[in-house]
Amino acid sequence: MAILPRCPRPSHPLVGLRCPSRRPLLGAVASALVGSACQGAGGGPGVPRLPSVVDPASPNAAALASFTWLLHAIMALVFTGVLATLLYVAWRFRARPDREPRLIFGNTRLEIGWTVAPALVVLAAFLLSLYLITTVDAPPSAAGAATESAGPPLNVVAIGRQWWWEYQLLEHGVVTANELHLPLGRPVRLELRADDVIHAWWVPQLSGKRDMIPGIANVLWFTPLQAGVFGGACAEFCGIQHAWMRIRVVVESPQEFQTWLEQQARPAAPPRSPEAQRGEQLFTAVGCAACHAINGRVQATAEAGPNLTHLASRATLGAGVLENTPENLARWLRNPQDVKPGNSMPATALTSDQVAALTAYLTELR
Amino acid sequence: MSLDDLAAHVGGLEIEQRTARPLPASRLWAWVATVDHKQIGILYLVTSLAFFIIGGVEALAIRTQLILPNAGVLTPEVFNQFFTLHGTTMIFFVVMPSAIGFANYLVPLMIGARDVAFPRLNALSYWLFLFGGLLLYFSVVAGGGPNAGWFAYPPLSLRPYSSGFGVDYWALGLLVSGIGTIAGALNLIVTIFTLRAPGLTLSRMPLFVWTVLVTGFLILWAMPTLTAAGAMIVLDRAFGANFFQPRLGGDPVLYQHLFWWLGHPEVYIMFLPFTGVVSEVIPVFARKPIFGYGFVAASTVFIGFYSMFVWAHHMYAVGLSHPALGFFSFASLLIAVPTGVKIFNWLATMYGGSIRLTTAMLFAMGMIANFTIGGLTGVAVALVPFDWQVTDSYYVVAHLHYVLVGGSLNGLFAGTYYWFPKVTGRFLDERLGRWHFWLVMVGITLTFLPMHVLGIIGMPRRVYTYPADAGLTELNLLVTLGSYILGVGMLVFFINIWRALRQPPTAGPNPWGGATLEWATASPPPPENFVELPTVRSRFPLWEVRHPDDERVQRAQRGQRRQPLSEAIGGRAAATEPNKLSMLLFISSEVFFFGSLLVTFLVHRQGPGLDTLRTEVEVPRVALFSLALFASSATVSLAGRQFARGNLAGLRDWLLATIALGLIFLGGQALEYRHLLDAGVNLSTGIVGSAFFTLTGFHGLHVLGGLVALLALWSTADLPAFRARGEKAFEPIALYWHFVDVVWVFILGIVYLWSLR
Repeated sequence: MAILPRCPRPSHPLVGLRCPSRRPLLGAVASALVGSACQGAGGGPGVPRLPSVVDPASPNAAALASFTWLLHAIMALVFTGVLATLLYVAWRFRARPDREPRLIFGNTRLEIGWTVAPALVVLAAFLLSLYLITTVDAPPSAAGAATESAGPPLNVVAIGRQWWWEYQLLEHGVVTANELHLPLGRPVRLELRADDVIHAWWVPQLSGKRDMIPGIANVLWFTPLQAGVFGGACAEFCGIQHAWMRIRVVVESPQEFQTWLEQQARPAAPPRSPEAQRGEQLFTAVGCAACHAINGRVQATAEAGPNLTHLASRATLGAGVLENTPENLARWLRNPQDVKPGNSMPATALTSDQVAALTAYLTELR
Repeated sequence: MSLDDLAAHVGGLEIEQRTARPLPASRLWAWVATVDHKQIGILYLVTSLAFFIIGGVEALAIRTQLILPNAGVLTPEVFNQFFTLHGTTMIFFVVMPSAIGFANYLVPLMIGARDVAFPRLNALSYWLFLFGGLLLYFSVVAGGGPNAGWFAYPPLSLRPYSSGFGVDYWALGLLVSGIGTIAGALNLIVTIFTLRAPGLTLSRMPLFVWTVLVTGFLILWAMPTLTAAGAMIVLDRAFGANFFQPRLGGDPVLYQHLFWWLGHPEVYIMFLPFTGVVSEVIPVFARKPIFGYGFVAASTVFIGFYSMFVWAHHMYAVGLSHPALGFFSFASLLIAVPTGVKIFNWLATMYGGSIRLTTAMLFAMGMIANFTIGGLTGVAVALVPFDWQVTDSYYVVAHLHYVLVGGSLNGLFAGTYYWFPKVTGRFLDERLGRWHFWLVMVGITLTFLPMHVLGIIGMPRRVYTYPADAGLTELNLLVTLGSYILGVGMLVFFINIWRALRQPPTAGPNPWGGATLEWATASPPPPENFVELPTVRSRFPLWEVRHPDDERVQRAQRGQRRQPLSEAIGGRAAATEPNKLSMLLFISSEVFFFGSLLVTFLVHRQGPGLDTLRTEVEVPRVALFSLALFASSATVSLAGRQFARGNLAGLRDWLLATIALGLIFLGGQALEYRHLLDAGVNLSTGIVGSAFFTLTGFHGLHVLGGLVALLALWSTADLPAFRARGEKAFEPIALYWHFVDVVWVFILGIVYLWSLR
């Protein structure tokens, strides 16, 4: 079951190095719970891990996971108490001919008791939550995570658009869409923006969610400590295709990440097969370039759609709606409105010949 | 004492006139033309039931679409319309009006009155509510329902992102029904303050009436902000204003603040009355007075009060500052304390009682159990870090349904089984009732409990489908099956009602052994409710059980001891003339309306459009014309002085002077608007222009409304009846006129002198 912490798999040296439970206050309450969760393992390579709040892969998410367990333990206790009392009282004092109810109007001491006791519990939870707010919503240096070995924070700009994600790693000259790669163990500063409507970026294993509001830049900080593929989704209702704004984050070793960065920063290679060469000509001729850029090959006029320079390197199409295979790509090209109704790509009038050429071209964009 | 004496004693002239009216021609017309609180209450309840069926069918369709991944039952567009309509319908056209329906029917009976304070206004409230609901659903036939969610966040709710007319109908429907709701709340408050039976002090009032009183104030002070926010959405969408479109300098987060200023008290508007219902049901079926009456009543007041300071707990993920997060989190958590007090007192009431497990009692117990879950998860989502994970996920869907279905709806059913004999003279069947109860319990548990887990494992709310490989399939299937069980439960409920109405009336006045005044009259109660008005000496007049406090209150009434605070306030309000009291309440509501508009201006007074406005607005001229408005406050006071002296001619002269000054002011405003519009300054001139025109425009409309009222006064002031009863009309209108002047003082100061000079 996805909500249970997974077995430890101490495969990577960085895994489990920096849990927030070192902090005395949090540690006292939650270290036992965090311990196993924080060192949990990811799925196999390429297989996305099912999203879960209580299966954390970063210190921030681990803190939130242990907080979640703690809260639900308290809630279960209180609920069981209320339900048991309710059922017991209903049974114990069920109506019987000989039973005369007692005439009691109240008891001030009891009232004070059940006013003060919950207030204290709630106050304790509040103080713990204040501590967590300042820990989670801050650069990792403030959170106590040592970052010397992992280097400076990685700056990523995520832009929510109807209905896909743009990721910019500007210092590395990378602009890509829908699939974000992150290096293991390095703090991430994720700047969240939007320019149409409000979206929210949520990958529960890595961090709590934050809104992407047009005109405002919000920031999320987290440090992925487990390799793997993490799923997530847009959490703020953003229109007709809100459901297909899935997030895919690949956390990999710094070396693998470096390879990915260099590959994403390269301009597209010229098409090799004749079919693909025809596809590239079609790309401009039938109007794809009005919205989509292919760095080094095609200048987009508006850049309203995802950058396609390395489309074939991504695992999914349409922000998660299809697996990225040549067949699915052809299906998308034949009629994107059929696959993801309401999305901004207009229905095309391509012949199957043209679809094949474009597919050949786009599948070469690795 | 004869009936006529009684009538004169309670309602005076008005009641005699009403009974003397010729009987309406047909039964249908009788319902349309009714001003009787009981009939209006039934209209509210029946209409809510109809909307409940519509909203329920929408819910089942939504769940059917989600039964399996990638299902094709509803198109994405229709799905989005359905969940928008489902939320809006259930909140504004089912739960809220059914609470108002109960209040309408029961409050006058419970306080020993013959009707509400303003029966005609009451009818108007109902028809506005119905018309608002019809407007909302007219969108469906007029080209597509609203599709931006029940809280319609901009920019999504603006053009071009919501391009049809659905959102416009949504906003207009809420505006219209909202005005009706405000009028209804005002009516109930005045009724509770001024029409209680002799001896029924505030601290002897049934707890349901207490919850209605607090709810009334919440409606009065929260709804105007929705009115303002809705008006701004309409202005943005249809008239080119720039309140919320960031590309044009607008502020989408401002809308969220305005919306949730209403939105959170709204939760308590939907919930508090049903805590009142449960507080009535439990003592009767445990045969024991409510435990800790004072604490339960006070907890209602505290919840109502706190609920006005917690709105931003819906916005933790927006990016608020840490101190703001801390404040709103703390305020939200505080609400848990009085809510817990209610639950503990209900349990303590049952303890030591002699409990009859009727269907009404079962639903009251079901409400306690289920609401405890909703309340606890409410505490959890009030804690910022946890909320960062689960907000806008299915966890929140689970939470809100545990509060509104587990809490309010179970309370509604408890109340329905309890008061059905009073309203119809017939019993609902207990055997079917048990089926109904258990189907609802199982349905709620299977539908809403797994939703918590769905949220924890990453399912966002409002998605029309989900990937097949996201691990969400099994639980969604379970949830959908649960919702069908809930649906069957509702069907049993409808069958039960239908069958009960075909039985002969056998209930008698007090079938359950109730303690409150509604059980002191026939079932159903006759027109005007009571043959003889009761005198109340305790909290449980029909049980004749005296609470120790009753003696204290009586001594206090004789002036031997300091009065409790509630009695001091209640006495003061009861001594106020009803029309004047209602005007004061209306003005308090208007304060929040103009407050929202002023705050909008204040927050963005340095925003886009400021420079244009600053160069074009001619502050000295506006200040000059303002003098006319301020002078009119003096003339209306002088008119009042003449009236007090009995000089009706003098009164009319001063009224005429007031009207003239008001017209001069409006003329000045018209000149100003013409100048601005000629200079190209309008609603689209940045957020400052939008706020400027909206604020001054609504003020102008209020002045115009005041002028119409003054004109009506002037034209009736020479009628003979005016000398005797004109006071009732003059005083509220004069108050209102002073109020629009005071609003202008703020606008002149903040907008013109401080910001635009």
